[in-house]
Amino acid sequence: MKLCGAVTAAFSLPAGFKRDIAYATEQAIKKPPVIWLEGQDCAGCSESLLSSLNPSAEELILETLSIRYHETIMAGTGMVAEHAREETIKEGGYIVVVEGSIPKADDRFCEIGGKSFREIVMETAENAALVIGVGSCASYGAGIVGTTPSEGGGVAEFVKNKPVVLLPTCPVKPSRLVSTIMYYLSTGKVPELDRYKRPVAFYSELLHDNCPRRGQFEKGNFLTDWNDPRQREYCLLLKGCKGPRTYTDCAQVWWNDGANFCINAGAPCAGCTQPEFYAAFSPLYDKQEIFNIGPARSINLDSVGAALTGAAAAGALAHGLGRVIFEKKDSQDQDEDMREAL
Amino acid sequence: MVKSSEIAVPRRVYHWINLVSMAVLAVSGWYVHKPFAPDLMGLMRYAHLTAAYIFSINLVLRVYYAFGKNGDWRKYLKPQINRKMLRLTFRHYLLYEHLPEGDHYRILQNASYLVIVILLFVQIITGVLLIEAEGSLPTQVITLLGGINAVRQGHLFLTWVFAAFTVIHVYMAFTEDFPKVKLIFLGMADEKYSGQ
Ligand code: SF4
Ligand code: SF4
Repeated sequence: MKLCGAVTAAFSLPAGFKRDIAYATEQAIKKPPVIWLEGQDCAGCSESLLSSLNPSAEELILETLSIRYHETIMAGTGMVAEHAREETIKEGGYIVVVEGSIPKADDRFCEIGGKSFREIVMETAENAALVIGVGSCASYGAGIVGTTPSEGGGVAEFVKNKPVVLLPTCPVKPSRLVSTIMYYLSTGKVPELDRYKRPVAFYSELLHDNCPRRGQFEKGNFLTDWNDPRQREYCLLLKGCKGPRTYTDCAQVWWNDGANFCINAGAPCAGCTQPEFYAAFSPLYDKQEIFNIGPARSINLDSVGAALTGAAAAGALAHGLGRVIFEKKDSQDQDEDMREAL
Repeated sequence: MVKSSEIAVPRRVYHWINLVSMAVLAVSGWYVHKPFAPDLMGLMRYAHLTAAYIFSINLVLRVYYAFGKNGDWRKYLKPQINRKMLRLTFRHYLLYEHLPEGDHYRILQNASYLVIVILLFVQIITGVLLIEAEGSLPTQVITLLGGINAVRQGHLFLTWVFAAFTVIHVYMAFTEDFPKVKLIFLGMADEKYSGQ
């Protein structure tokens, strides 16, 4: 019931909904089947969900959902496991959770049981009721520019004919995943999404506007030395905080069942809810101005600007010197030339 | 020196407001970008936004004036560029040959002002998007421009473009046509001045 309350609050539903959600959840016999697919991932999102305390992993796996297929936690292996997936697909109406990106460069970068991950996702999504991409990789195909020859893509780039909800952050925030599933089960609807297919309920506010260190930002207190105890509470902007460009409710709904979140724990926000993460936001621990446009990648914007202005100043200086040395005295013919020209 | 109405008062007022608001915008914007002193963020952001509004209104009024009765839009939108003029201008810049009296060398300069004014409007739009990022129209525009990070970087990059332009602008004004500097700032002319 506590969880149902949390879901109701998360989506700002009328209080009565709490009962509906509880009802839906109680239809435990008809536990919603879930197929959890892992592509180019690190299993961090699975870890994140399994470390959740409310609901606990047992509650989640054994009571709330019916997880039919999950590469990391399922007991079955090989043909048995694949068979469970195929059976569920035949049943239809299940929820597909995709963790990790899908290679775009070549199918062979990620194959499971001899089948490419792309095909697996497509065929599993075929009869699904809802597809949820969890984590930044499944959402945007996030990767470190230049080091991912597989060119990972997000699930929404592939699955077009089914409702897709994306829940970026690295890793996925368990409360968001559980709330999204609960919301879908109790209302039968996909929550309102923003332009990146993220539920508006979690991703509509700028982190910087709700940050506990915002007062320090306004005061102009910026942490420059991690070892200085006086700077402990200072704003992390100069240490690379991406909060001013990141839309998330991290500052209001803390991680790990409300234990803490990045900025409060002293780490600058990496901007993990945004499509710019990681490529356009790196380096993480530096205030960065790295261009992320075509060939201009990894060029520092301030260097370009300073070079531009410096060149203008140097040019003016050189021209001025040249003028002193070379300037010719007035010439009548040039005047005439010009008059003709105009 | 005598009083001169060579450059109309609205143009001079525009230039002053433009100069001051741009200077405030540059300094406060740089502070927001890289805070160089403690305890000023609130003030600097306030100054940045206030100057931004003054600057924008000023610019819009100047464009309105340009198309008005005594407007000078022709100078900017229809610069009389031809090959001979270009040749002479470049010889003037590169070989320091004298140009004839009059306004001719400014033809290219005026063309560059047109580019800068367009970029200034782009700068205003990116600035507005950065403070009003959440509505549905801003959201669409931001997506079109490649995300909030790209908008922010565009805003910063254009600042550098204006900085570089200002360096050249000031150098050229002072060396090419110092009388005009006096005209635009003070409305005073040497009696002999025959520019425009
Ligand atoms: S720590 Fe980050 S989000 Fe918080 S006020 Fe500073 S810049 Fe903004
Ligand atoms: S504070 Fe930033 S980096 Fe941390 S989880 Fe939230 S969005 Fe991601």
